[in-house]
Amino acid sequence: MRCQYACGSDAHFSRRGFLQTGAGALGALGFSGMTAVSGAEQLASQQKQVVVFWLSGGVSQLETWDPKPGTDTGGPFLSIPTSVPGIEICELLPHTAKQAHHLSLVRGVNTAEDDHGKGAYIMLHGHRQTPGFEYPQLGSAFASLLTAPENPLPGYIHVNGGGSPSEASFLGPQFAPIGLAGGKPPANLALPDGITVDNDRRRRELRAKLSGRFATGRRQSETEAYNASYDQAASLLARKDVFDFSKITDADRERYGKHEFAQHCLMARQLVENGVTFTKVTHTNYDTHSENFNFHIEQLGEFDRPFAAFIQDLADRGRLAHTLVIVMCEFGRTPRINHLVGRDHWSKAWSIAVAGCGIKGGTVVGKTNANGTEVIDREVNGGHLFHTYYRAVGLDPTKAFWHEGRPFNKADPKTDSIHEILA
Amino acid sequence: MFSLLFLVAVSFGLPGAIFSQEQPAAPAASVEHPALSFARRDLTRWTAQVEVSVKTVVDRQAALDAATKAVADAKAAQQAADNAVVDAAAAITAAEQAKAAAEKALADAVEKKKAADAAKTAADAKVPVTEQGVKPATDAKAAAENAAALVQQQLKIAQERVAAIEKGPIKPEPAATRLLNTLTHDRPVIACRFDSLGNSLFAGAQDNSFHRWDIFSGPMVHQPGHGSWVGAIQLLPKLNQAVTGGHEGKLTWWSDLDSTPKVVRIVDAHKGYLRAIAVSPDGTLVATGGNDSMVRIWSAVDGSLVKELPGHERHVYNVAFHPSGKFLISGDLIGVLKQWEVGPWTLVRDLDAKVLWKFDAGFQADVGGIRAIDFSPDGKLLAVGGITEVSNAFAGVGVPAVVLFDFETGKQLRVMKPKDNFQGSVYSLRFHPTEPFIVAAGGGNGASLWFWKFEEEKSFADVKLPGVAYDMTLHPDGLRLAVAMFDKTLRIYDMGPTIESPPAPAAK
Amino acid sequence: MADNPLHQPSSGRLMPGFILSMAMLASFLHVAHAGAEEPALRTQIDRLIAMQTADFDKLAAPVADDAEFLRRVTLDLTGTIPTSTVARAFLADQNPQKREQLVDKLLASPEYARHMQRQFDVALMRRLPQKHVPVAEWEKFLRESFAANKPWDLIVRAILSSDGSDPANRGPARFYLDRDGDPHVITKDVAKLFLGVNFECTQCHDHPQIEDYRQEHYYGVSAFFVRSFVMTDKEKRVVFAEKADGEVTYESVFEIRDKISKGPKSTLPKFIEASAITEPKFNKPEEGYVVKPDDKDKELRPIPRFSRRAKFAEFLASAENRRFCRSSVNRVWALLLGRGLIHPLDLDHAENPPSHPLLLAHLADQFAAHKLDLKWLLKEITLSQTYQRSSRSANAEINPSDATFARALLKPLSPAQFAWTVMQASGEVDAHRIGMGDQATEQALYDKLIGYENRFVQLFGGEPGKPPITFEATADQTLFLSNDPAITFMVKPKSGNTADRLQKLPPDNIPAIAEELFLSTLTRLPTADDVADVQSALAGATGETRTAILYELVWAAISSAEFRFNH
Repeated sequence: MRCQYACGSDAHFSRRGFLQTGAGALGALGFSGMTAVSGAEQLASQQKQVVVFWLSGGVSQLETWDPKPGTDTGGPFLSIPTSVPGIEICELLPHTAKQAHHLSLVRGVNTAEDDHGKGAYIMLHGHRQTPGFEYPQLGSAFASLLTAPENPLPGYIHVNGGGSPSEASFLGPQFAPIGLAGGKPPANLALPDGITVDNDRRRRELRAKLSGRFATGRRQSETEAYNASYDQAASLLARKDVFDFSKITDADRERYGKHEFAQHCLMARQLVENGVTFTKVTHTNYDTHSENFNFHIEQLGEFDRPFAAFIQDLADRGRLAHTLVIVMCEFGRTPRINHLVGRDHWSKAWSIAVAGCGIKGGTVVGKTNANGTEVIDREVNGGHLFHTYYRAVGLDPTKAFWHEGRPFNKADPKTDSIHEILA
Repeated sequence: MFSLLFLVAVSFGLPGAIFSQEQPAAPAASVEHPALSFARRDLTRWTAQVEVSVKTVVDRQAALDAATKAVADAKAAQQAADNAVVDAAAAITAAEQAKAAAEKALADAVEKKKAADAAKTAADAKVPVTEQGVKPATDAKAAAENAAALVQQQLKIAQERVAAIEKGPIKPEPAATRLLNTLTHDRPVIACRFDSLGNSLFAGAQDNSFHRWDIFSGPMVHQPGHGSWVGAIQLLPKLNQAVTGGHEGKLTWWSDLDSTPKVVRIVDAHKGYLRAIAVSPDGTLVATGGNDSMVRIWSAVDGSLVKELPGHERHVYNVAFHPSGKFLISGDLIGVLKQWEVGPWTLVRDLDAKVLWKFDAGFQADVGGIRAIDFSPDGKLLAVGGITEVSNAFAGVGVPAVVLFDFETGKQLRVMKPKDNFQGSVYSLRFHPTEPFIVAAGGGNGASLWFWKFEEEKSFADVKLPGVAYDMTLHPDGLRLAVAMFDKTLRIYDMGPTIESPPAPAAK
Repeated sequence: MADNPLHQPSSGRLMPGFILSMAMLASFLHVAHAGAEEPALRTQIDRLIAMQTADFDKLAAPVADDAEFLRRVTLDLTGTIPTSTVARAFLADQNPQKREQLVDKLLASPEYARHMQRQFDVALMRRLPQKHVPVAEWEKFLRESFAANKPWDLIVRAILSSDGSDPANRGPARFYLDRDGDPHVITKDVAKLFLGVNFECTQCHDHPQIEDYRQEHYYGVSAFFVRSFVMTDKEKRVVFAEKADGEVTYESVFEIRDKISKGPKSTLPKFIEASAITEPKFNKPEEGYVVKPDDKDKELRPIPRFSRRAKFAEFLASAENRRFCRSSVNRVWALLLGRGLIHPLDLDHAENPPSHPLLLAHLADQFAAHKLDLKWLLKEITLSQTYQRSSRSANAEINPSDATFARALLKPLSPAQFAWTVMQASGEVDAHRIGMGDQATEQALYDKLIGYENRFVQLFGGEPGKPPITFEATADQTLFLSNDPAITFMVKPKSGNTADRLQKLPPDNIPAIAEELFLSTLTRLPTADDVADVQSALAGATGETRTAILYELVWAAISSAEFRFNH
């Protein structure tokens, strides 16, 4: 019997028998045979890509996707019509409003978790943290399931954020995020001064020969992993143009905006166009406990134009059809306006927006009451959302990951996809 | 295995006893013919055999009888079983009928119970509903009594104030500031102005209306005239009108201020919030500032646009005319003050109040701004207020501050802060019209009125408020002030000298 | 005052494997003792290793050659590789005792103390960030202890009895204070580190799979710490103080869930299966104090008459504590051999028996008998044939499992080892040594080059509090090794470094160039294939091109899989 209880130890599982511990530890990389995707299914979804816009701190649903103007909770902003008759969003998103026919608004999210870390965990894993179960994050999961084996690029890139190898969990370090902190390309992508491409090729050939001779007659799992990291680095180096953002045109910079987030959206567009499977763009920060409205004017003022341009560009270039775009964060914000004219953390009734691959654009699902204090129709949680993301990119969320004989559900089996918004 | 061993042991243990080769000796006497002995033996044996055979016949007969009986018995049993099956089937049928009847009875009973429960629930509900009626009635009566008492109290205070002033001139005593009256609303109140006679208090709130309270008779009038919150109010005394600015960017003129205000005109003044309004000392011009980073000048009389003043890079938070009427000052989110010359509308200079602003790198946002502004009556001093030393941008943690300038030189004289370690922001400030002090209102972690002397950095009197004050207005008598508050009230405070025991009106 | 619980008959369940192995060991050693003199531990190790595996001789890799041994033992005992000069001299040395002499020399070096300090710092502190005690003071305490070869029980006792109140010796208090005195964190870590027990699950319930690990055991250990707390004293020092009262209570979350709990339980302090300690009773609470706590004086550090924590240090870190000795020798064994006899190190229980029970028991006995002398233990192990086996089997068909110890395992270099090995192989250390002349002490070189070590630790050392437990190779690490200016700076020819030495050798003497290259970087002589590679790389190259190729050669060696591991 496997332990199913929460006590924070991986010692419950055979993993510890497999990996080693202590000083001078060794151990095989444990990421083979964990996927349960059939060949055909994988083939069908290999062209699919995903972009997450992470509005760090928790954007207000009332100032974005579910405005309640004129009510006691509505705040000072008006709602505006969009490109879809009957759907209105907050006036702070005029450009996004013109892309509403691509968007689906999920207005009945209830994740019941008002802590930043735990809320983020739910939104990025589809369920609450279960101590002892180290689930991969959405980015690593999609990177592993959607990336074609011959794709030399990292499967998961986080623009304007870091990335911990632990996000990939048992899927292995090649599916961990590569963080472009501050929107900068990965370090050390340029060859050292005075080292030409020829020098680089020669030195790698020499190292490969030496390493090959060493491996004979020895235990090889570690040496193979080490050598593979050089291959990975070499292919990254060969495609470093993907990270060369200097070629973005002035016209694009003008259209998206000059500020950092606009640049990050352009980077994301470049990464998507070059075939990076999963791109996450973090925009900070929306944790507006005071001055909610002033800060949302500022932050959404940054978000609106480049996000809309990003959607428009993907649509114009035919990429939106196979790129799933998700706008989310750890939770929404309280309908109640506090004494500092702020809004606090609120997970009971909030919204996210999705667009693109597999999504029926121009739709709204879920409904909150008149002043947004509770969901009154089609309530969903992280589980529903994850079922929906997987279905949207053509993967079966009911097929678990298998790791060391143990299933790891991709989405909570007690929930199902939001079929109304699936194309 | 065991027995075999035993046999082996036995056979080997007694050699000769069984397999002995020696035969015993034959008996000696033999007189009869051997055949006779055989015949006799045969006779004996056959006799015996007859008996055996007869017995066998008898036995067989008995067995036959037994078998026959067994068949009969089995047949009987079969018949009995058949009967039992038929009986049982009949029993089942009977039982099923009984069960159906019982189930129907149960269902009926459940239905009846449900109906009874529903009736009880309805009955239960009715009692509190009727009881609910009692409470509002009781409360209304209490409120009326309270109001009557309050009126009595206010009357007494007014009598005392008259008596005091008749004895000689009186001055405000900031440290003695106390609550005089509380006016309530159903949303947080964000802006307020006394009219020039001090009879009415005009207010904007977290709704889309313009509100008027008669401070004596109490009840408010609210008039729609905006598309969003009304955050700025100024009076046009010569026209007997008021102008209000809304977060939707509109500027609205109002007449009939003594009764039910009516919209005179509405002008699209700014894109985004209209944050501030100032009226020129001669009453002819209205200046506004807003989130489109613009300052605009309007004719107070006809609402026409007189001038547009671009130059601010961020949201304009406040505007103020110099008492001489020669200059206008505008201040923005990032602490930049611009001085404009009235008439030609040229930019005279910038003043630096960046101490009231911070770009928070962690949150990637600007925090602060020129939240309050006023000139001293003689025009020599300019004060702006807001928040400084911000340590947590998104929780609004910082120190309320007023920056005082010598207007002629543009020199920053000092940054004034509360005497205690209050955390929050100044939202409004006024120079007293006759006495040398500045009063400011604000809040954050708590709420307060602060009083500063011009030459001191620390406030000399702090008066705690029961909720954050978003705006403040001085009564024309120079003794009273009103604050617009988060707790859905307007509160009127008395700065005048206390007479005998201080009044403590039970504000509710 | 308190009876040593380790002297008392056990009330709990003794580990059956342990009883069995002791009985067998006694009989085995009886046979072995038929001669007069007890054989050296190194001999016993080889005998007990071989005895455990059928056909051991067929599986066993040959004994490593001098070069492989030199690199391995230098890395294991000093955290870096030898210079080409040292390597050349060792290979040429004809003295049959040279391996033993080498071990003695390494154990006496200042590099040994520094390396042990680093290894045990990571084990004991998990790279937890500094909180109340400067890391440098903690490191100094460890380094000086290893340099003086202080017995292991005394080192541990110093750590576990330190409360930070002695301003001259706050280093060891980092163990408690930088865990913020959290009794749960401390309980789990002391169990893992010194008792070989993983207590993760047992805070909330009996271990669902390991019968030996019970919640009662967890709270028995926790009870030693439940009265302790972190406070700031009058001198504004953060110290680990203790009260005279306070008991643990616990309740199984399973029993609560299943509604069969009989309510919270408590236990006196005890070590796993040993019986509880006895402690003095006081009639009034205040009698329990030498210095009474004062509610009005929050800076007054109370001092109890009877300190549970002091008893913990005394009873735990002792040659008489069998579990402590077992887990300690197991840890040292794993440091040198790359795998514990009990594996993983913190899962010592009946259902996970040691791979070599007799050997583990004998090592523990002998370690105790030699007063927990670390240098003696390290020397005996490193001079065993078992330690000295090659990591390469005689032929590729032979593939013994790790747990047989029939072939040396590949141990990935720790971040610090990797840093210093790169610096030594590239000749960065040589260049500094030349530049500093007489001043080039171990400490001086360390101070000069610590920046590089820090960069490696940052990139290879995992998250604070969670050093990686498996070998990981990520693209950012490899890009660093490939392209970072710091690495290029060390590898490119410059006065006194390896590439520089290669450049100064006669260009046509390829064997000499190859020899210097391989001795400097991989601590071995080149094979014919290696020489051929060097030959073809350098063929016809002159001037700038040749300089670039020398860089490529040194880089290729440093980035090779052979270099990345201690093999």
